[in-house]
Formats: sequence, structure tokens, C-alpha cells
Amino acid sequence: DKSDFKQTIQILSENNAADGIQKSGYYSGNVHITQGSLVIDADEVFIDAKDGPGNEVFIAKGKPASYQQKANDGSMIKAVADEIRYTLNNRVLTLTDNAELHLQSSMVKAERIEFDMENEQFNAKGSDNEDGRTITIYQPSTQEDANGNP
Amino acid sequence: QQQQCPVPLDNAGLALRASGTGVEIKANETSVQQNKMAEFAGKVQIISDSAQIQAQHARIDKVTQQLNASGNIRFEDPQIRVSSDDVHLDFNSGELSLDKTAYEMVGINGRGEAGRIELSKERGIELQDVSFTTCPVGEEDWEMIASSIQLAPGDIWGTVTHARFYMMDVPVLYLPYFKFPVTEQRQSGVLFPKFSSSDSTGMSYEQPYYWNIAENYDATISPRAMVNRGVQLKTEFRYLTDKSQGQIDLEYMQHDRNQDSEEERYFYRFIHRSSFAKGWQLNININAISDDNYIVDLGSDFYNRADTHLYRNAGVAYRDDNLSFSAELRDFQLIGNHPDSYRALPELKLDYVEPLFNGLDFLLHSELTYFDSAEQTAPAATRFHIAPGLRYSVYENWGEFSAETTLLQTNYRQQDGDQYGLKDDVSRTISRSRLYGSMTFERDSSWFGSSKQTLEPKAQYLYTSYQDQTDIGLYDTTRLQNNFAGLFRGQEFTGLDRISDTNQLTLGLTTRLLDNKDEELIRFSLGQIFYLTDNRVLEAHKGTNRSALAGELDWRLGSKWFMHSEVQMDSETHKLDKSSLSFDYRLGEDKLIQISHRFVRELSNERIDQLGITASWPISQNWHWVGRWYKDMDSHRTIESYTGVQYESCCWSLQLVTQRYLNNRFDQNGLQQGNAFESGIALKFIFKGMGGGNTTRAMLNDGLFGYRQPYFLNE
Amino acid sequence: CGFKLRGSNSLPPQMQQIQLQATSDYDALYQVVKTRLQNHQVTVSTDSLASVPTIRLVKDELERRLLSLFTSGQVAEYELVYTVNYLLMLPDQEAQAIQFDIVREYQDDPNAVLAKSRELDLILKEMRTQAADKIIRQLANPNEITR
Repeated sequence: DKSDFKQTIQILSENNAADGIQKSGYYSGNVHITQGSLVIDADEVFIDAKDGPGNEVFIAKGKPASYQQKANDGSMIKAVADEIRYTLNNRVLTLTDNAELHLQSSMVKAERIEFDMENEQFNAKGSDNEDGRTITIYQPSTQEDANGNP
Repeated sequence: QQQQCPVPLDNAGLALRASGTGVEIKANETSVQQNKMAEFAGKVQIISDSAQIQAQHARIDKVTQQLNASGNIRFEDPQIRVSSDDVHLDFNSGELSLDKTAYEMVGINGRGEAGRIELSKERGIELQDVSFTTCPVGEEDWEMIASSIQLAPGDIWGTVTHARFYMMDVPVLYLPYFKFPVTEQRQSGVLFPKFSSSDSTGMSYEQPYYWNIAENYDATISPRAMVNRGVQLKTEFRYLTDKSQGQIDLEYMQHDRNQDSEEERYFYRFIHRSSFAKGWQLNININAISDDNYIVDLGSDFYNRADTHLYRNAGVAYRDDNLSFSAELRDFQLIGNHPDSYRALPELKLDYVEPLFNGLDFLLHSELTYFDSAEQTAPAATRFHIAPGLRYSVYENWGEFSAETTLLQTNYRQQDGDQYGLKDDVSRTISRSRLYGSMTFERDSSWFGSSKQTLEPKAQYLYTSYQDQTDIGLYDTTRLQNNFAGLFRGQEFTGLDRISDTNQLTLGLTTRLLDNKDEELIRFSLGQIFYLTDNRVLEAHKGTNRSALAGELDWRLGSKWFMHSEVQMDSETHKLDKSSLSFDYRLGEDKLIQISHRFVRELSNERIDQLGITASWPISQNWHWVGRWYKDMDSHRTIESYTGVQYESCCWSLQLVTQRYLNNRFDQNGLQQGNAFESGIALKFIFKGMGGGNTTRAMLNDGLFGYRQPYFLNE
Repeated sequence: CGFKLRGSNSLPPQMQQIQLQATSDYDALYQVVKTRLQNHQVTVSTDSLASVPTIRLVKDELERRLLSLFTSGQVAEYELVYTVNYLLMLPDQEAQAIQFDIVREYQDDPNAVLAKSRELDLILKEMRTQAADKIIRQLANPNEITR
């Protein structure tokens, strides 16, 4: 939920390297990023901090990389993709290649999804050909969401 | 050379989601605002458990649970395929609506345009401001414009309101409300108007309305306006439950302009069958007409103009493996001035079979009947009859043998019989024994393309003791028609009031030529009864020692020619008592010519000598002709000439029938003579695909001699 | 002249046991077919195992058609057409829907309507026996069933 974004980000990984001049970091091997209820797991993460603190961009890659966070209404949001890019300042997650986002009772698959975590909105894009289109599946709304309210 | 008509749409390829698994939406671009709004753009495809929608873009308002899509919409569900400009779906109510649509039905050839189509699980499909045709694309010979067509779920009828029919863009018919069958099941009552005209009714227009009252009751109400007579109301009410079924028909005319008398004219019919316990059945079959000329003047769907009586019986019956019992009231309404016949009010029958040991059966037949008649010259009587018997029978593939001996005990109580030259109380005891044997011989043969020939001799010896029966009245007894089938019956009269003494031997021979598939090519049978002593029962007296020689021949030459003939020849005079002959040249159900001749030397002191030709032939791919001509050679007059021409295309057919047939009216004292003929023309539109069934077969069965009336089987 | 008595068993061995069913438990044709089957030493049962040949009597109808008229215009002779519809279900084979007609002639006599209705009942009984024999003949060679 919104309070996550005020919390500090912790990164665990098997190994990491920082580059003061380029202001970038590189973590690899079971990278685990947490910020409040927000969790990103990936094989490798590249951090671009050249625009100064608060504007960093985390680029996580994995087979797939995964993201999850508690939504404002308490349900869990989950997503996976080959590349998850988290831009801190506008709190937008960009999922590319085999992206899949689970939000309340709906699920979206697409080549590229831009997910505004704060307002819980997203845009998804597929390729032009038939089978490259985005797929959205709405479960019947009567299904209870994560913490039991209809 | 049948015309290739388009096959109705089938959407086997329609892939839907399993029910209850939500909705899947594919699109080039999707954007979602929390749980308020979702937008889809580019090759949008919405797949639910009941339908599939394709569009250029769609929008789902999650709060109000509404979906709107637009941009060359294609909607498809198991019943209908629609293309439209925009579609609106309400997830809560499940109601979907499409505007400015072109649609195609699945399973039937119906298609057209509709200003609006609404679908919902409860109300099914409703098309508004709709055009409808079943004609192939580009050959729209006819079209219907209506304010609405409703296809309720599970209902076999589509309901149309405010319908206008156009033939080649010319308005031909307006129907404020009517129903047409949507499923392929043949609907008997096609609810299209019937135009016809005949001498007796003049121009006549009948418009049936179908009323689906409840799940197992429905009714058809069809007023019929006739120029010469006025308005007749024909109603039919049908009911069907798991234990019973039945039908009530009522035809009523308050005043018939063409009728000198002022009374009302009516016909009613009530048939009912129900099983109220295991093996038990109740049957009711009651019919009545107001006057002798009702059917002759107004026609009937249930009786032929030439019929002589209507049934009025009701009864219960029980049957199981070796016992059958029935209690019935059997009455009739006679048409025309005939002596009022006896009625059985009631008659009880009991039959019982008890197999003793293999081949030997104990049989019991018993009856108790009260005969009553309105004629003063015929006494009422009660008859009790019981006939225990023993029968030994052997059935083998090569033959049959049976020996039977029966005691026939009958008691009569004839009310003041002496006034009629009869006795009040009569008891009659007669014994009868019967020996019957038949064998089947075979040999290979090659005549007429056969591969096997059979030779089946039959013989029967029948002895019945004599008792004078002159003081017994005739209640349900008359001479049985003698033909080959009746030779071995061992019974000369119907009913029981005359049991003739017999000492006779019956011989019969049948030979068959069978093809290699064991199908009969030729079957020829010959038989005769030899009277070893003459009958002493008056009515059975013959004055000759041999019965008429009875023969039967069936010949199938190749797959096209069929011949059937039955002949009885008097053994003394060698003159024909009775003969019937028919030749069929048959290439298919609707492609045949049949020539038939019937001769009966004496039937109710009249001579029957009649020639008939029936033909049904396709003239061209769309035109078909049916003709029938029957001539009474004795009085040198044509008794029926019928010709029908039909044009049939993929989506409509026109039938024009002209017929002229013998139709004598009854005069005041119920006699029917003279040479009155009735001629009529009937024009029939059938919009195919909206029910209508096989039309050429309808013509073949139409008219005086073609018409097949159903009996109400309650045996 | 080459004729010899026909062989003893008309029905093939697998037809020695037949299951006979009817749509209504009051079916008159059912009793006649059952008796004729038993005459041919066939054991008849009412259960419905898929491995045993089954005859299911669907519908029988009696119709009349006009054959000749008296000079008055009233009917002299009718043709009685008794139509039988039944299903023949042989083990591991498609069920065959079979329909055939038995045709007989019948003279009407308006002066003896009750007696003539007795004749009609008698002819109907005989037509039912003929129909039962035809069903049994069709059992003997099931795949060459013609109308």
C-alpha cells in the first residue's frame, strides 16, 4: 500500500558491485529487494542512480523476475516478467517480455505492461499479430478477493 | 437433380469458455484504472461462457459492471451470429444488446437485419425492427418485415409480431401475430393461412393461431371465413402429461348462409388415453357432427367425405402376459339414413391363456355384452359367452402344426323376443375342433433373377357342431369378407350370433422367389375351402361344395416395377367374385405412377368396377406434378380427378391444387344419390425453413382417394 | 423336383436371447411379439443389457385410405395400413430404426356398423401377428432390412 514507498529499500544478493563514478550498482545471484510489503526477486539487478537519490531506477532481470505487493484494499498484487524496471520517483513498474500481472480478480498477460503502483493503474501492449495480443481475464466478480470481502 | 440449397450455418468452430470461468478479453492495447475502468483497443476479442464478441475497441466500467464495444462488431453464440455497429453488455443482468445489426440464425436458414437485438438468459433472443428471409443470398424471393421476433429459450416456436410478407418486393400478407417452428423437428401445425375455394364453400381463408398455454397444454385456434357460408371457428386443444395425453377438437358455425335451416352446425371430437395403473389403460374416442352434410359441406381434418359413421366409444382395458380384460362402451353416429345399428353398452371381454406344458395351452375367451338399439324393430339383448379351449401347437422353422378343441357356450336374454320371432332366453352349446399344419420347402432357383424358391403348403380341417340358431337375433354378426387371408380364419361371421356348423377342409399353397438377400421377388398364393357337408345354419348355407378360389400375387420386377393382385373366383361359375390389381412404376418416394383396378361383383347389392391412376413426377428441378384420376367404370363417371402443381425453390414453395370429386349431399330423409360433384382450387404458400415439411408427400396424400385418416388405436 | 425341407433353426444363435421393450406398458403389439418369439424358443427378457440384442417397439399406427366408393359416394372399401416403428439394437452396433407397413383390405357396411367394427378388430389382431412374424424374419437377417 502507499506507506511502502516511504520505507527504506533493502537489497540482498550473493554478490554485488558498485560504481561510484557512474553512480550505479550491480547485484547478481538470488537478488531480493524489499520495501515495506513490496518484494522483487530476480537473478540480477542493475541500479541506475545517476539522477541522484530518490530518482534511482532498478532494472531486475530473471527467468522470470517476480514482484509482489499488498494493494490498498489489502489484496496481494503479483507480477512476473523477464525484465521488471522500477522507477522510484514516479513509482512505476515496467514489465517487459512475458509480462503477467495479477490485480484483484483480473489477470493480464502482455509483451509490455506499465503499472502505476500508487494509483494501481496499468497499460498493457501486445504486438500487432493475432497471437501477440494482450490477454485480460476477469474472474466472475462474485469471487472473494484475498482477505475475504466479496 | 435437386437444386443445391445453402446449408444452414453451423458454428461448430465456436470456442467458448467453460461456464463460470469468467470473461477473457484479447486486445492489442489494454489499460485499466484500479477497479473502475478498463479500455481495450485493436482486434478486441471478448470470450465468455455463452458468446464471443469481436470489436475494434471495448470499455468495461467495473463499478456499474457494464461493457460497451464498438467498431465492426461480430457477435456469435450457439443460436445466432450478428454483425453490428456497437454492443452493450450488463454483467449483473447478463443482458446484451446490439444495434443496427445483420444476423444469421444457426441451424435454420433464417437471416436478415434488425434495428436492435437483445439477448438474455431468461428471455432468450429478441430481434426488433427485423427483416427475415430463408432465401439464399442474392435470391431473396420473399422477405418478412416484422416489429419483433422472439426466440424464448427452450421454446420450439419463434413468435413474430406485426409481420408483413413481401414476395418479389410485393406485399402479399399481413399477420399481426404468429408463431413458426425454429427447430428442425417437423411441426405438424404450420400456422400459415390456408387459401382455398370450392363450390360448396366459395373462397375460404383460414388463419390458425398457436397458443402455447403451458408446458404441456397448447391449443390452435383457427377461424375460417367462407364466402358462401360465413365464419366457422375451428379450435383444437392438446394436452400431454407423463401418464395421459389427449386432444379436444371443436368446430362451430353459428349460422351457415348456404344452409336453409337456421340451426347451428358443429363437430366435436374428444380423444384421450391414459394409463392409471400398471397394465391398465383408459381410452376415450368420442366424435359427433350436427347434421349428415357437415363433412360433405365443410370438410374435416379427421374424417373423409365418404365415411359412413363416427366413433363414440370409451373403455378401460388391462393386459399382462396371460390375461387381457376390457370393459367398453361402443357406440356410433351414422351419417345418412341407415337403420340405426346396435350399440354395445357395455361390453366386457376377458381372455386368458395358461401354458400347461410345452406346446399345450389352455385358452379361455369370455364376453358379456348388452346390445341396445334405437330401432323399434330390434330387441335389446344381453349375451354371455364363454369358450374354454385346449390347443397344442408346435412351431419349427420348417413348419407349424396346431390342434385345438373349444367348447362355445352362449346364453341370450332377448327382451320380449317373441315379438321379433325370437325366444326370450336361448342357450347354445357348440363344440369346435381345428387341425392346422403348414410346411416350408426350399430349393435353389434362378428364375427372374432369384436364388431361392420356397413352396409352402397349408392345410386345415375344421369341424363345428350344429345347433339351430334361428331364434337368436343378429346383434354384432355379419358375413366376414372372404379373401386369401381369411381362408384359414375358421370363422365365417363377425361376432357370435351365428356360429356356422362346419365340416370343411381348407387347402392353401404359397410359393416365393427370393433374391440372394432373402428379399421377396415374387409371392404367389392360392387357396380354397372344401365343404365336406353343407351347412345347416341358414345364413351359412352355400349350395356348393367348394368356396371361391382365392389367390394373391405380389411381383417385384427389378427395383422399379411392382405388381400386386388379389383375386377370388367362384368355383361353380368360374366368374370373378372379386379382383384387385395394381401396377406401380416407382423410381422414388415422389417419382411414381400407379395404375389400379378394383372389381367386386356384389357388395351391399352394388357392383364395384373402378379404375384409378395416381402419378407423382418432377417436371423440372423446381416444378413437380401430382395427378390422380379415379373412374367408376360401372356408371361411366369420373369420381375423382385431382391435379396439383408445385413450384419449390430453396426457401419457398407454391402449391396449386385443383380437384373434382363425387360429393352427393344427403336429402331431408338422409338419402344420398345423384351425380353431384364438387370442384375446388387450393393455393398454398409455404415459406420453407419456417416449418412446412415435405410438401410433395402432402399432395400425394391429399384429396379423396389419397387421404389417409388415422384410427385411434386403443386395442 | 429338388425341394427339401427348410433347416431347423431360423434365428442365428446370438438371437436365442432377446430383450423386448415397449414405450407404454400397455402395448398390444408387445404381447404378440413376445408370444411369437417364445413360440420360436427365444427367451424374452425386459432388462436392457448392451450385450444382448434388444427390440424396442416405438410406435404402431393404424390408418385407412379409401379404395372404392358406392354409387352414393359413400365408402365401399378401405385399405388398412398398419405402420410399425421399432428399434433393433444389436451388441456393439448402431441402433437401427426400422419402419414397415402391413396392408389389408376392409369392406365397410353402414347397415352393420357394430358387426363391421368387430371385423376391424379381428383384422387388426391378424395384422399384429403378421407384423410380429415380419419382425422375427428381420431378426433372422438384420443387415438386409428393407422397408
